[in-house]
Order: sequence, then structure tokens, then C-alpha cells
Amino acid sequence: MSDRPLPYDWERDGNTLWVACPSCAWTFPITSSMAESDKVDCFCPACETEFSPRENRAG
Amino acid sequence: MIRSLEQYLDSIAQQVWHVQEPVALRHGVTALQYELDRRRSYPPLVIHKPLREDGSVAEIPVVTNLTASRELVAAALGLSDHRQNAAFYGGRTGEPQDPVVIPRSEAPVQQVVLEGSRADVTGLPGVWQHELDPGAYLTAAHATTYDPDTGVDNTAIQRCWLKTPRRMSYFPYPFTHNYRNMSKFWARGEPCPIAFWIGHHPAILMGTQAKLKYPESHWRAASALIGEPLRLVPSVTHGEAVMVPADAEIVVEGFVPPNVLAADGPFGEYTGYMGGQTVAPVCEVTCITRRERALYHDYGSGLTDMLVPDNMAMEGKLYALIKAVAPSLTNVYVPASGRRLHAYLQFSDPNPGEVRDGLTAALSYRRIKTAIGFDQDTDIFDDDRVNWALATRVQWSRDSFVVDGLSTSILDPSLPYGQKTGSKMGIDATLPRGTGRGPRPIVPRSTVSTAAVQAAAQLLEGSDHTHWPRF
Repeated sequence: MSDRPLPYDWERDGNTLWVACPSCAWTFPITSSMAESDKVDCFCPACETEFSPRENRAG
Repeated sequence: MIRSLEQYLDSIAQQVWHVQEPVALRHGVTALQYELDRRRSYPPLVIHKPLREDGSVAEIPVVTNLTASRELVAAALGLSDHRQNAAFYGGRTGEPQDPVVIPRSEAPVQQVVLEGSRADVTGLPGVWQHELDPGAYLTAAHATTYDPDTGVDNTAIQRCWLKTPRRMSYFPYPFTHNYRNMSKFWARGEPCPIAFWIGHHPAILMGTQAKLKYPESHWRAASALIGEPLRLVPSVTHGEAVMVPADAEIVVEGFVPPNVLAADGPFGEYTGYMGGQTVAPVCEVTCITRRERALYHDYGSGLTDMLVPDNMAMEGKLYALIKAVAPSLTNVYVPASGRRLHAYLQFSDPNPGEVRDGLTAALSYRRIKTAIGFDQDTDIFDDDRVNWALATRVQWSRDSFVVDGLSTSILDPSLPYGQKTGSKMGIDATLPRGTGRGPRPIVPRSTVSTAAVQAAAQLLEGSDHTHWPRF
């Protein structure tokens, strides 16, 4: 898990979805359209890994 | 009169901060804006040595914080007082004027034309603004498309993540007119022709942000706002189908191929929070044109730099919308303190029910979540006076109402997950009206005499208050 501070505390925020990069563990928010997309993978801003948003939910 | 960004900056030279030291494009430029904002100081910035991550200095200077000052933006529109904006903007943009098309040989924005492999968007000094952003974005790119059914133009600020030399993600929100235009091309199985123009005189930036019906020309609204025909030129790739402002600084041209989607974001939004990574179309770049000595314009997303011009355009739209049903409306303010979600309305001697009529009309505007009505004696541009009126004139059960299920900004982070409509509130902070058969119930205000105020001001003028606390 990244040691950089998050802008939200996702454990207490039911409005935002988060994913964790399977490669570097960088965690970032995604929209519902990204969460529900079966055509577009998430792109990790930290290490540029592409991964499925459905299989890498955080929290 | 030819208007340009350079000419504007020259005209306000004493109010511009020319930063000669190198400033990092990654976070450094935006950090300057945050620090200025914290100090309540809003000069436009010209970063003469924008520093790339590899340590090289970008060729094109960066202009940012251009519209962070409401007073400067109002002055750029020719207004002596920013409080005049709502009626001015609402009136002017309601009377569209035709733009004028000039030959390409006379267009400053096409002094340099880079096509094919010479067109490289990563060569532009895109700013990497916030810590969770994935990279550098075009933040002041006015995406310009047209309705294929009518040929009517649309132009709006929409972000682009610079991914490779000739590919960027492009994010038009689903409710926008550019999205509708793009969807029409896609429904025909065709790529959407597009051009992004960057950098211009703030009056043009304001004019092209007019909130219009669909389809309706932004060039005509901008011409109306500045009181003269806006100079346009056909784009290199799309010709007269996609025009661009001839006096802009930079134009990126290309196509949005049908159903090609990519990840975009997270991105720092106008709400002051990060918007999540989303699914966005992409733009395949065909050409970049620019002035020989171009300036690159960046908007500080989520900062007053971006809130002020858009909120002022909203004031014009709201004024026209509300005035139609509540003629006693005298002014509208969309304060940056409420992002784009609050509207303060001012009324003069409204008829019974008229304030609520106006509040209801304001709440029908998608972004407005809270609308508050005030009397003439409340300075709606001063949050201290606004809070004073809220504290002393409102009984919540009598003076507020909530409407659920209205269209809303999906970027509002308080919106429950997956919900597309919002809960909105109207508050009548005007004093109760009289019955018409007796004196109106005006609460006496505590005041001091004019002479005493003048004497106090004179006394203050002679003192050094540099180090006095401000809060």
C-alpha cells in the first residue's frame, strides 16, 4: 500500500469507489462508469499498469 | 478591435506576475496558485521557464491564474464594477451577433502549422496539476465540434490528458453539447471532427462560455458579449466545418474515432475533490497550429482561476432565466466559495411568492444545489453580510424548502453512489412582506452616523496596519 496520504478516507466514504493497483498497490478513486465498464481497464497513474477495475476493488 | 492574450497582458502589465525563475510543470505551477489563493492574491502569472520532468525548459511560456480575479475579468469585459456582470452578461449574450471569417494567411494562430508527425502534443507545456492526476493535461482547451444535423458550432472547455505525441484522452461530460455532437457522428459510424483552441483575451474566453440551448452558436454569443464580430478562421484539417478563433494562441486539431475509449483521470475537479478515473473517448491528433510567439494557457482546476469565469457566465444565464419569472430580481452572484453549486439572488420589492418563484427557477439550473434570496440591503457579494441575513431573517420551517429528484452535478461528492438526481434547497432570506395595509416589518439595523464613519476612516488612514491580524 502506498504511504502517500489519500484525499478521502474510503473506509468512511460510501460514495466513492476505490481500486488498488495489483502491481504497486497505489490506490485511487474510480467512477461508476469505470467500475461498470467491461471494455476499458484502469490505468495506474503510479506505475502505468493496466488492470481490471472489477477484480481490484479496494476496501 | 483585434483582441489577443498578449495584448491583454500588456494592458494590465502592473497586475501581472512574470515569473522568471524555472517552475516545474509537475505540481510547481499549480502550487504557486494555491499559495496565492491562500494569501487572497490573484495576479495572472506568466511562467517564462516552465520546467519539464527531464529538466529541460519548455519553449512556450505558460500563462495561468489569468481569470482568478473577478475584478480583472469584469474589467476585461469593460465593466467598471464586477457587480454589474449578471445583467450585462445575460443581456448581451441574449442578442447574438455574427462573427467574421478571415483568410488563413491573416490568422495569427496559423502562423506556425505542424501536420502529421510534426504535430506533437507532448511538446506543449501541459501542466500536471494535482498529486493524484495521472499526468499532464490540457486544462484550457476549448473543444470545438459541430452538430452534423445543422452545422451549428459548439465550443466548451474540456480536459485532455496528453498521452502520446498524437493521442490524448478527451472528456466531454455526458450531458454536454459536444457529447451530443460526438454521439451523432458515432451513430453514423463516423469519427467526430474536433479542434481545441487554447489561449485568448479573457473577454473571448468569457463569451465562449455562454450557457446556451442546443444547438446554438457560441461564436455568435461571444461576438455579442464583446460587442463586435469575433474573428474566426477555418481549421487546417476540417476547413469551414470547424472554425477556430483566429487570434487564439494554439490550436490542436484531430478526430474522435467512434467507440474508442480509454481510462481518463483521476482529475482534480471544480468541487475541490478528486474526480475518479473514468472512461473517456480519445482524440487522434492531425495538426497543431500556433502563433510564432505563442503563450500556453492553463486553468487551475478547482481554483478561483477556473471558478470565476464559469460562475460569471452562470450568473448571466441565471439572471435571464430567473428574470423571466421574477421581474423584481436585481442581481445574481455565484460565489466561488460555493464552487458552482450556490446562487445568491437579490430582489427589490418582490410580489408575494416571487422570491420563491425565482428560487425555484434557479434550482432548475442543473448545477445549482442551493439558491438563496436576499433583500436589496444585503450585499450578496460579501459572505459576511450573507451570513448575517441568514442568521437574522430566516425561520427554516417558514423560509426554506427542499426539492428532490432534480438534475444535478454528478461531480458533487455528497451524491450517493450511482444516483443521478439531487436534493436541492431554496432559502428565502428576505424580510417578510407586509400585507399592503400597513407599515412593512423592517427590522431596524444598528448603525453609526456617516460623519462618525468618515472620521474613523480618516483616523485609520494615518495608521500603519500592515501587521494587524486579518482574521
